Amino acid sequence: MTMNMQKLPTFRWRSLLVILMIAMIGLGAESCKPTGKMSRKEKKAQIENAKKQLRSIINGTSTLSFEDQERLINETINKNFNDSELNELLIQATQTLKAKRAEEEKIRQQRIDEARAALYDMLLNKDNKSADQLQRELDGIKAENLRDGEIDELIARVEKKIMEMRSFNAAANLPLKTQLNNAFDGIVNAARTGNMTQADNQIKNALQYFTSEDSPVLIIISREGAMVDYDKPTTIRYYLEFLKDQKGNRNNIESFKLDDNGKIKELELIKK
Amino acid sequence: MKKLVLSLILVVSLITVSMAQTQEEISPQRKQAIDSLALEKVRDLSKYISIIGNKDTPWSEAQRVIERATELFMEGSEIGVSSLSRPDVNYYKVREYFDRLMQLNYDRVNIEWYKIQYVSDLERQPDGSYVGVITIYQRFQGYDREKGLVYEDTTKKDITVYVKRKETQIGGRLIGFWDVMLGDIRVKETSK
Repeated sequence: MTMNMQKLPTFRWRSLLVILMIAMIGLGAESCKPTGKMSRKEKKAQIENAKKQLRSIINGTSTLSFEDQERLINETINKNFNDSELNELLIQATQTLKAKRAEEEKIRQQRIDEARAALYDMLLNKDNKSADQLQRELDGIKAENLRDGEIDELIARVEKKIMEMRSFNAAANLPLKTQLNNAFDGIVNAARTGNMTQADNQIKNALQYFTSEDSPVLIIISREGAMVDYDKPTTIRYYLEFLKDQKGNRNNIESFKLDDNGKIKELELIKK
Repeated sequence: MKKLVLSLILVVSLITVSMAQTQEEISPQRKQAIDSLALEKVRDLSKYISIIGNKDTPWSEAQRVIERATELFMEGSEIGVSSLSRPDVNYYKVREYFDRLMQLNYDRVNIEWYKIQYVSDLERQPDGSYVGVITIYQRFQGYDREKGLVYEDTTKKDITVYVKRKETQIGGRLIGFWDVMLGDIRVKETSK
């Protein structure tokens, strides 16, 4: 056998070698082609899969998110399968998503309108809700993440209001005497810093503790047993303005009398 | 004659006892409280004068403060105004003085009162009221926007103070209070 092989003409071996090399090069080139190029079988499978997913989009049974559904449609369009049924399904799915998007936008707009109304109600707080109640309602609106500039601005205003309410309530929980002292100190400090507008606002706020701005203020200058000497009586408005003008508070709160509404109808001070 | 002298002594004694009873004596602590109260009223006035003279004080605010300041004075009281540029002292009714103070022809005015003290202690009068004199030193500075400080002087002024006990009804009870009223403010000396 070996002998026979050796007897084969040399040119045949060469031809065989050349043929093999060409075949290998050909096969190698085939294997280097991009994988994106699918076979007819693969293409068919992809088309079927796309159709299946598009149908689920159209009949509303797709488990994909809205964004993923949009992405699927766009990818399928880009692949350009050139399948008439698929193209028809693409049109239907696109229309379905468009309708769905419009519906969602309509609902979102309704929610924005509702949230806007609710936020304005919260700002007015006609129902006199507590800071905690308002906070709970606000948290509900914030959780909806409506992504609307006006709503975001209203949310910020309500947050500020709640913060002010908490601050005011904290002050309101103090004994009335402490609140009054704080109010007097506030007027004096504002006047000392030259901020007369703030001092006037503090006076306005302090007057709310009283029955009226004419509520009498008595100032004890001396007390010996039952004998009490007073300065000339004044009114609360004049006294608060006096604190502003003099930029100082030289009296302590001795006592006060409340009216039926819990407001001070008479204030008695004593020299420090 | 002897009977007449005895009768006179008896009458005088009765009158003295009667007067002593009508004029309630007050303790040193109460007197001190009244002294302090009168001094405070003068200090209050000094703040009011600063506010009224301050060119940054809005007109309405100055008017309000003028009202409060005027209420410190007895009706008809006068305030003396002196100047280094003239020897005489002009006296104005309180309200007119404040109005003129508000309209002084400077761009900025600084008025400061210091050394506020009794020059004559509050003395009890036959009617039960008290009268004293408080002296103050006033530093006045007038500024021009471009030239800066254009006038300044220091004036020593005496303020007569009247204190009288009064009563008023508040909330159904009788309140006894000391009414401090300022009288004339007289210029004693003016220097640079």
